[in-house]
Amino acid sequence: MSTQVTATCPGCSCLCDDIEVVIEESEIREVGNACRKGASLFLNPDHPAYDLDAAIDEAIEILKNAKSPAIFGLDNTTIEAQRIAIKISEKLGCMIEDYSSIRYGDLLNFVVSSRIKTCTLDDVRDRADISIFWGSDAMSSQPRHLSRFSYFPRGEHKQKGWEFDRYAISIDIYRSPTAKVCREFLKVSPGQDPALMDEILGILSGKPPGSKELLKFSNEIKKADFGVIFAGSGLIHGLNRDMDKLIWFMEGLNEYGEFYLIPMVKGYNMRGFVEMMKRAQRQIEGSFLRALLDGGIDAALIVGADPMSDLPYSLSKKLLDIQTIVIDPRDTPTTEIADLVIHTGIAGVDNGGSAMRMDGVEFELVPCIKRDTPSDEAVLTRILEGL
Amino acid sequence: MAGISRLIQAPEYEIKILIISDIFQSAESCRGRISREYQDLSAVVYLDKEDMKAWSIKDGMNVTLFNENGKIVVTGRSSKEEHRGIGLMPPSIYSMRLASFDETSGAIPLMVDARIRRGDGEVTGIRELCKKI
Amino acid sequence: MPTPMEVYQLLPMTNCKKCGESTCMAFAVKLIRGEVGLEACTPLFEEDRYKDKLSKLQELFETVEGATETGLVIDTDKCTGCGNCVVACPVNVANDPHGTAVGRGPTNDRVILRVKDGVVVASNVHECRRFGKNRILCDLCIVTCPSGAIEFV
Repeated sequence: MSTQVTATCPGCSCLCDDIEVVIEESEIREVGNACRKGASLFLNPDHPAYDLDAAIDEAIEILKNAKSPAIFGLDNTTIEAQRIAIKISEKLGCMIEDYSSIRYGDLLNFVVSSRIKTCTLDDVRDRADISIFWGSDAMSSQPRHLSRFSYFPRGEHKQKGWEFDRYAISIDIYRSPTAKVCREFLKVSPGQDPALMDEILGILSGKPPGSKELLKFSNEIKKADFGVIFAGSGLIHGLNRDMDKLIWFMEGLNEYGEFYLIPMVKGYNMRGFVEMMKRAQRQIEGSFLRALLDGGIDAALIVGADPMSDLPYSLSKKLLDIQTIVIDPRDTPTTEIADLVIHTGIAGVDNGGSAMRMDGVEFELVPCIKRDTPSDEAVLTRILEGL
Repeated sequence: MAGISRLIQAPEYEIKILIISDIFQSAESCRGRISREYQDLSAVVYLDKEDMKAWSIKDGMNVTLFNENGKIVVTGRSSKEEHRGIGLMPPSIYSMRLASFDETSGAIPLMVDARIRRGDGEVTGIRELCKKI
Repeated sequence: MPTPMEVYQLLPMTNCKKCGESTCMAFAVKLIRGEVGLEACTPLFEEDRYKDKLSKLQELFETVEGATETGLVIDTDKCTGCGNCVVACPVNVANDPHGTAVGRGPTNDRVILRVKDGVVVASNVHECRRFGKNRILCDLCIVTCPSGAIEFV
């Protein structure tokens, strides 16, 4: 007997909610519509059983005995787990941080506080004339972004098809898979993004263009009623984190049409964490990375993250000197070095919860199979209670 | 002495490492980041074809990448795209061994200066990189 | 995929017409399109001097065996399951206006391309615009693929 359920995929910040999962004898047999990355999450086998009670007691002990603990990660977990992690940080009076400012500087804060105009991906599908992938490679990081929203689908006001209705351009330092499928590719030298912004606004205001591509791009901007910049970490690096320049450029574009920006965040629920911190009226105090480097942390509770693979060795080696508790569904270099590992289930596959798509729209993640693996939320709740 | 040992080693060249997402590697990473399959997709640098010719590196050959931050042995693969002087690596414990932390901005740069030379033994294992030097 | 010239050079090049075509070149073109089989060229199999050519041709067309009747071949090792082709395919759009046309998974079984277990699979290929009497050289699934996973042979 096989059953079919529709699931939401926590593989990336697109949160595709049309995943068809075929279940037979409590195992996932087939996954429809999910990309290669999403499918591999759903087809992941379960973890072997372990003594959860003992692990939670140990986690509580480590955190109680720590003089200056910190909580880190949290972009790949549910809103519910993020809320509890924020409560734990309040209880312990400790630092809590995700990767948003490490990867995107102040971009996320500017977006959630409306200092940069943003819109939803549904608006993009229904209305966008022009999609600008700036320092972002959706085809590699958010594989269904172009097919679901930003280039290929028909939308409410986009009925003629992508060849006639839409224009997509990739601006990057190399020809990425996204650049290959976009109409245009503009190669930018590392760090030259501010100069390119100057040039684009210059051409729009009547200055002679430096290249044919730039002229074409500027004409498309002029023609467009609705445009969106999909900003990746490449853009933030290219701007040397200068958000004022980005705001200036967005204001410049908005003289020619409605232009919005959506941050192409990497963790499936990074947007959720930034929103939850805002709702809890919390700001990121200090920097986890600097504290780690300066020896200002003696224990870290790492949730859904792999800093051993994400951080330069000068930082990650410091994790070997402190007590580390890692809550993660996978085996990673960080679980490898951790003092304590608590394997949890994957939200949307084994456990429930909710998450925020890159555009701030919330989705429910309903478990599609029943397994005993606990959720991040359940583990964090028990740790909070124990403290 | 340093001069002599340099002579018997393969010649080394300057390279910029650009850290870029790779869907195949990140799909594998959903299953875990310790496995052989993940290692094969992470311990790799995609090189420009002309660079490979100039540096006598063949597709599938092991290469050593190093800078002041560390040293790794990975597999050199030929890239479909042109990017002279630039090697592409997916984000992982391998590329992070070469990356540095920008203390002023708090950022982790996506572009890293390194040097490359042919050979130097087996690909560095993931568990080896988890240990403290 | 082989060009007609590559295939032609591996044929007997005698224009003997035993296959029913007027020239070996015409036969080569039909062979590539999958409209005739290699076995129609009887001298290749009967005459010993074509032995090497035959084995090369068999090798050449072995890679095409996974092709559907329209010649559509999907390299699942390269496919990322992004679904660009699924949404860009005009037949999918026409046959499934509320599903693939608007970027979602298919809502019926009439689509040609769909994503299963992370890679694209084809069905109903007889509906492909490259097939049948009024065929056209549609290449929308190819140009929208970021990894070169789709070919027509």
